[in-house]
Amino acid sequence: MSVITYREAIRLALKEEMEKDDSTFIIGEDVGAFGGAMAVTKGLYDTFGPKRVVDTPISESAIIGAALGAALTGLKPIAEIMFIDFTGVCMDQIVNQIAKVKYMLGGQVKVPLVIRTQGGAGKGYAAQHSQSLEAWFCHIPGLKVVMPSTPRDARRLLKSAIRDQNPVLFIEHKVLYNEKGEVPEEEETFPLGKADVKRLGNDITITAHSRQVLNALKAADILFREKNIDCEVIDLMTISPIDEDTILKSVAKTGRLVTVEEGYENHGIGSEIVSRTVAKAFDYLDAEPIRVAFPNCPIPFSGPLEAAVLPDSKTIIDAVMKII
Amino acid sequence: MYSTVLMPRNGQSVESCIITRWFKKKGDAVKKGEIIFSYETDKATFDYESEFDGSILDVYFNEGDDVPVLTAVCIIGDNADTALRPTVEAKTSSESKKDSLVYTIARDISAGEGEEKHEDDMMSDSEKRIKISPRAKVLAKKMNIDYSSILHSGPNGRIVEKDIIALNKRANSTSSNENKQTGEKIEEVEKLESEDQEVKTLSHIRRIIAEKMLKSLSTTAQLTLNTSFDATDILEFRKRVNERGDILQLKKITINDIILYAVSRTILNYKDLNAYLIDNKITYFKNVNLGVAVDNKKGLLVPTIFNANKKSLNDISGEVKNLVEKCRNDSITPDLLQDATFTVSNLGMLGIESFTPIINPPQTAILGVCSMITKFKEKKGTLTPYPAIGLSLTFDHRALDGAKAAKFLKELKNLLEDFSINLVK
Repeated sequence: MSVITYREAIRLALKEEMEKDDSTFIIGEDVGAFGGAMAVTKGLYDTFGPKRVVDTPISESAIIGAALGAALTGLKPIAEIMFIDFTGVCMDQIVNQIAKVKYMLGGQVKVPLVIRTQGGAGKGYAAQHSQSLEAWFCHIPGLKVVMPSTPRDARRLLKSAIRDQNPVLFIEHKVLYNEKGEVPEEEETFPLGKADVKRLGNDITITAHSRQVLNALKAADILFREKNIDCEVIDLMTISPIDEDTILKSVAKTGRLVTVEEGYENHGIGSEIVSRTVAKAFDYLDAEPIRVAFPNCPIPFSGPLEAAVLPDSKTIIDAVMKII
Repeated sequence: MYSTVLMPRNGQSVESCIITRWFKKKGDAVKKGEIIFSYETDKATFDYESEFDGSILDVYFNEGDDVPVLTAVCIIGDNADTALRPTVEAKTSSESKKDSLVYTIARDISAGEGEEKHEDDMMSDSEKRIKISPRAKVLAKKMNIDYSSILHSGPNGRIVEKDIIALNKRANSTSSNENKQTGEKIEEVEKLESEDQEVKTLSHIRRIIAEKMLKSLSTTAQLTLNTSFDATDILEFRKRVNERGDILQLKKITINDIILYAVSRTILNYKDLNAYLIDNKITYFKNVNLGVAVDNKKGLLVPTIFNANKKSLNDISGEVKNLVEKCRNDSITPDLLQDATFTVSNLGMLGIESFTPIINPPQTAILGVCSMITKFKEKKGTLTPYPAIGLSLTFDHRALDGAKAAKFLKELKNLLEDFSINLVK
């Protein structure tokens, strides 16, 4: 086991997969010579050279379009979009082309493509650089959405994403890049579409993903110590397709559900989880399910304002106390 | 506007409290700070003071009821505001013989809660229904429980899983095995009241006592040694002291006081009897905290005289009177009901000639004092009567052996038979 950062874990997965398979390559803005806007790809340009770590002009459509073309012609691109907030620019390429081309061509093509990007608030980057927009992509059939919360998960989920033969959106969190965690020496993967129960409990089920998993675990710890409430915390890992079975099994045990996310509350990940739970585990519910999310407003630039609305462990504790 | 008064939760582990007394009834005016009712946990009694001015609009429990914590007990509001009253429906089901109420209590409305709608607003007046969570409903169906007359602990009058479990527990504790076997509805067992039977669930205090007694008898190796002593000396002594009592500003000394005093002076020579046995460790105490068993209408209480070995007979007597009074009028505090190292239980005034008192763990012994009976001494063929008071000492054989316990009794007996002389020491 070694202790490395989330950032280093991603870099490690990229290096491992690029070493294994010559057809993989990275493409994006500043990924090569500069080493990545978030320093994730630092050193890879030196190791693999400009043909496998490709710098592009500032054009998201070009990045994604080129990646799609490469995938269709036999390569395995790992495209980077610097901020998930910028995907608006290349939305057609992702949603109308990448997600649908295999289906529309009757399965005659393969699109083994990964789009890496990052989102999340907490650094004062304001409304257009701090969003959590995974819900947009979960809505589109043909795309998988994966979001790791720890260095270990980042490494094993990215490897699985790269090896997946279909398009995967791999969303990192800007606040997690410096978080340290244990990562095993041996290579490992984790199946896409499966959640990871990060804490077993009996009184209430809390689902979370990405950065909010850390807040959920902190809240569970406090709730147990101070109020003897035993929370089960489920890290979604793959947001789409979501691991319904794990969640429903948990709710059947506990009878109570709180979903946590950093995206806006309306029509978000929590909404999907709650509706499936009510539809399929209705008889097991002892209380109404609650969503914890970012409020339906643009993310403030002002530090104190941002902190006031960004969900944290206290927000989660309050939600649990409402229905326990 | 009205507010709901919930049974407070005094402590993490308290699950329910008994309402001991109502100071207000439905319709009474109440001011902030006035006591509305008093309630008890297994440790102490508390008074509930109103947080608002208003009148008592409705009361949901009676004196003696065991109420789960955080359940609505009553509501306080303005008499004028009838529109926002909680709804109270009389039970319509013909199955139930009990006169119970179904009630839904709407959320408290406070100024500024704009977004959250009053749940009752969403339904018309004629559509009031029982609120129950799906999980609880399924459980009730599985257990064959009629939940229409059940206490709810969920928000907005919702019955939740633990309410069904609680109801089932109550029903089971009063049902006979036979009923269970024939698979009859559990609710019918609860209604088993007829002319020659009365079914009551044990009160909180009773349940605590029951548990403690059973635990003591099943986890210790206790047995009782019986003896009696000649009370001539202490009777004489008592008479003289009480005659001069007022002049010397002494309390009225009783036989029990004398025995307590004697025990406190003797027991430290037999430290195994003034000790706690917990698992494999025995803790000896340098001072004697005497527990004195007192009977009160709700059950047995055992207040403590701390450091009795350092107190005079007069002090002990005064303290006993004080503690007994506190017990009888329910003003005893939890700190006075704990930490005894040895207990004395007197059934003498009730004519008991010997008995087997039950030890209060982790103590290792308890002394029972019995009634006075006339026994006869034989000396050179002549029989002389004398007043004898029985002593029954129960001790835990795991901590000490019979000989030691018997020696303690012997020394105690000697002290008591020559009390006035021994007092000099």
